[in-house]
Amino acid sequence: MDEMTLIAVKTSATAFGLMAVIAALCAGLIRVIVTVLARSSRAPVREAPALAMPVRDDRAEVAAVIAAAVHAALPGRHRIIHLGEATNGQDWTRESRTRLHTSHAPRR
Amino acid sequence: MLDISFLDLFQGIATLLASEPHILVGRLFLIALGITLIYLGHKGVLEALLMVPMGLGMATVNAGVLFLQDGKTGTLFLDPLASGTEAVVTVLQIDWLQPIYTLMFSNGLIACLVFLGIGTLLDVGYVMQRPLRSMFLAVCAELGTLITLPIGVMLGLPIREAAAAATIGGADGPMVLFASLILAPEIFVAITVVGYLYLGLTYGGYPYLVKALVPKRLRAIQMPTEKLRTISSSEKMVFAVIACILFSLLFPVASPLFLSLFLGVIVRESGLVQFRDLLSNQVLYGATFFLGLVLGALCEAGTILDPKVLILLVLGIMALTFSAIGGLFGGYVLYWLSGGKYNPVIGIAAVSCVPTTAKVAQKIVSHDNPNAIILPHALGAGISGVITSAIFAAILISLLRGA
Repeated sequence: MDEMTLIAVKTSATAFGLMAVIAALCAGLIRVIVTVLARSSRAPVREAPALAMPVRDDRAEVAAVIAAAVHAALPGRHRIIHLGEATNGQDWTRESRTRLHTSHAPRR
Repeated sequence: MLDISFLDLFQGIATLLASEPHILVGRLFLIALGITLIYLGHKGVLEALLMVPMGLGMATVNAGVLFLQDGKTGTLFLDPLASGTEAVVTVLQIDWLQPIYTLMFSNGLIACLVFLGIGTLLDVGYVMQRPLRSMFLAVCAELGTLITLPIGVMLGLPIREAAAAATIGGADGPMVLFASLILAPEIFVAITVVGYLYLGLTYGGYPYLVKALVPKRLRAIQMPTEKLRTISSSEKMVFAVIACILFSLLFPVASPLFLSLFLGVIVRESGLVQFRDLLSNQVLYGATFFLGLVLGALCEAGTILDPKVLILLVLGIMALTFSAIGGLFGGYVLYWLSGGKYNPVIGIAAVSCVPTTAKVAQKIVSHDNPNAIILPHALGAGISGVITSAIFAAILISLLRGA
């Protein structure tokens, strides 16, 4: 092996070794970045303050008062057949259903 | 009656007949090669985006040679040998591709533009999910560069030219162009053309190599499902910023490439849709088009015909073959370390050339086991390959620039 080839072998091996070390450091750096940022994204979240929830009251007199109030407020002949707890998130559905049911009223 | 000389009228033929035999044969060969490249590009054997403009440029520049002043021959495309301010400015006003060559090739701008576009296509999240395995495979897949450099010197090339040719093992076209422009400006055309030709062949050639080195049983290994955390855009941007600054600090000579690559990554991750669309479409494809066209136009027989081209052809294929073998070896090491759960074919994707090699790996595996999905692993290895190729090229440039 002549001198130039020997220099080429040394240069190539040195460059390869350096590249491998830097690539390994790069992999370590990536691991550190991912770990640190993952921890910061998992920081404890403050508990939201408790909301004032309506008090549930199932007594018969309460139901009777509500029924009487509704009966007095609604015009015309009608009958209250059910009193239930109000549920959130159904306003849109109820509104859509009302519109659908009232949009084809030939006798109106 | 007008006294018209046939050869004065059709100067392309006149220069052909007046040239020396080896130039005549060379021009005819390069015209045929250009047509072949167009055909192979059209058929999908080679990368059409590059080969079609390169092929037509190559064929046309060898057909369109004419007599210039003082009986010299040349073309109206470009003159890569023009040196000195006055000569360059004169040629800039005559040759139509000279502005692109002078203002985009000689300073590496075109390589940086391609890298900007590539950066916008890279999802570094694949590397960040599996950094150690991806980087290990990428280091193994630099075997071609490691081996080709001394072999190039043994075959008679000066060490800088051998190093430039060896970067073909990194399988990154812009990197080969950038490194050869700095290390071997005299033969950078030949090195880059050989590099791109062979890179175009990887899509067709690597499957045979993989099938020869990895038995079907191992090719069909289904990677176990991993519970990996999704890497956010912010994390990818933090990595890109730190890596860009760190690599530039280590290798200022290659910092234009690092900036281009990581700027593309950051544009992609920052949600700047306008920039991302601009870089990944107009800039990338515009640069690729002119890269192919100018490389083709540089392949004029009088310029490119050099005995070194034969050596470069040998070194190019050797570099890419050894890099592939190195990548597969890395795949085998991970296969053994994981107790037979790792598909060694993923190693071929570490030979950079994103995303071609990753697609090749998935295609081979899908053929043997349609349920095996290795693409995320392969993309991680491929993107790591881009990074290690850039580091290796930067080290070689830093070591040999003054040699």
